[in-house]
Amino acid sequence: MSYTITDDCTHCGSCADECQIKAIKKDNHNYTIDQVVCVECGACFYVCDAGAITTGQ
Amino acid sequence: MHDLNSVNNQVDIARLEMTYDVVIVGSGPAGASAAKALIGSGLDVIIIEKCSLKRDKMCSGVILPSAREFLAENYDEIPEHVFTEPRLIKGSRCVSTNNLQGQVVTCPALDLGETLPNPEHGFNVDRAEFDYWLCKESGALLVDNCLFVDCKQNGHDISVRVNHEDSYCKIKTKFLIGADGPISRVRRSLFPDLDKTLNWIALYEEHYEATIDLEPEWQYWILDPVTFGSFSHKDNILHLNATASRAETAKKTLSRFVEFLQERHGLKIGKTTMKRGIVMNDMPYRESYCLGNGNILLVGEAAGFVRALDGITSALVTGKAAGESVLKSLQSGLTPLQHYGEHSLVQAEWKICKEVQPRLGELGFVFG
Repeated sequence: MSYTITDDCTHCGSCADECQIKAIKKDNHNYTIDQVVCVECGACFYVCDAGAITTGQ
Repeated sequence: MHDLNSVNNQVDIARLEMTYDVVIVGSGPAGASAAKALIGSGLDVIIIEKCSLKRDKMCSGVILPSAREFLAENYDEIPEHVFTEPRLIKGSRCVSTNNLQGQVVTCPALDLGETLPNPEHGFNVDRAEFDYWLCKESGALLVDNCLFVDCKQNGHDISVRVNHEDSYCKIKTKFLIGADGPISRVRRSLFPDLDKTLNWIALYEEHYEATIDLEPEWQYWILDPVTFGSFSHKDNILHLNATASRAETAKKTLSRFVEFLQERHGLKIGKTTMKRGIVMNDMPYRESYCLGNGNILLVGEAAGFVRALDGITSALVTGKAAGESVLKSLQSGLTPLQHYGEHSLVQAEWKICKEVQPRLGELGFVFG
């Protein structure tokens, strides 16, 4: 299941701290998930207070 | 002892914000085993789990001989609904992306490396059902959708901050056991800088409705010049995974393994039913075990214990040792950590992990 950061992101950076394989990058102000590097472990999903990380197939 | 018959493992905030004797973070085999060791002690034990239960986990889900022995000694028989087909795994076999003839080689078991393949090598289980059964056997209160945020120690009291159903609350406890896997938040709360010193390894898995020209009663390892992977059958679904390397991402490696299996072993894929991954670290390979601090213990992969590619046995063993160490500390006045570090099971586990890790290289596993 793939994970995406939506506009609900508050830019707190928790997801990037949680991602040990550095699949979440900050570009200017926005955090994005590199879908090539991401292995869909879900670690970022559980720590997102804003509910800004959504799942898809 | 708490009622574990509730289906959704949900409790209200008022019940969660009580004082417990032991808080266990993580509902895998390590946490469940720690909780089981505390059964009958009169202590109030709560297991918190960040996922919704029953939660599945990326894992071959093969219960190897060492884990089977532990379960036989410490648990009732594994219930039927926990098993997947084929129920018994005969052993491990290897295929190599270097071998264009598609040769299949039988290799030793990967728990102690000394158990030869036999008809009763491993139990093939559903990890969601297996882990849930282990937790229920413990008799502890089990709460899901409950993320460990951090903890603070104040003398003998520990305040555990959690996020449960999108609300923050604090649980007070005397003892905390981190059974929350390789990306342990309990470990990070204790040692914030440790994670930055570790090398992290990504693994990616897909499940397919598929056929392949290989017997389903074996667990297969894929050896490769830069990395490795594995595949196994569970209820007619093929689970295939790959490990990332410096050379390529886990997803790219998996695509390459699919092509290899299609060309050499007749893999035919229908529908893809699951895509997911996990992240592990090199603590087991550095022998840099991290047992905790005072009244806070780390168990299983959170502590760095993995027997080569088998994490379940280490989790069960060190979980039991942690539970027993808490009980001993109540009588001795020493900290649980003092007992845990000296526990015979932990000492034995250290020795086994050290013995087993180098055998992976000897068997042709490459960590790129």
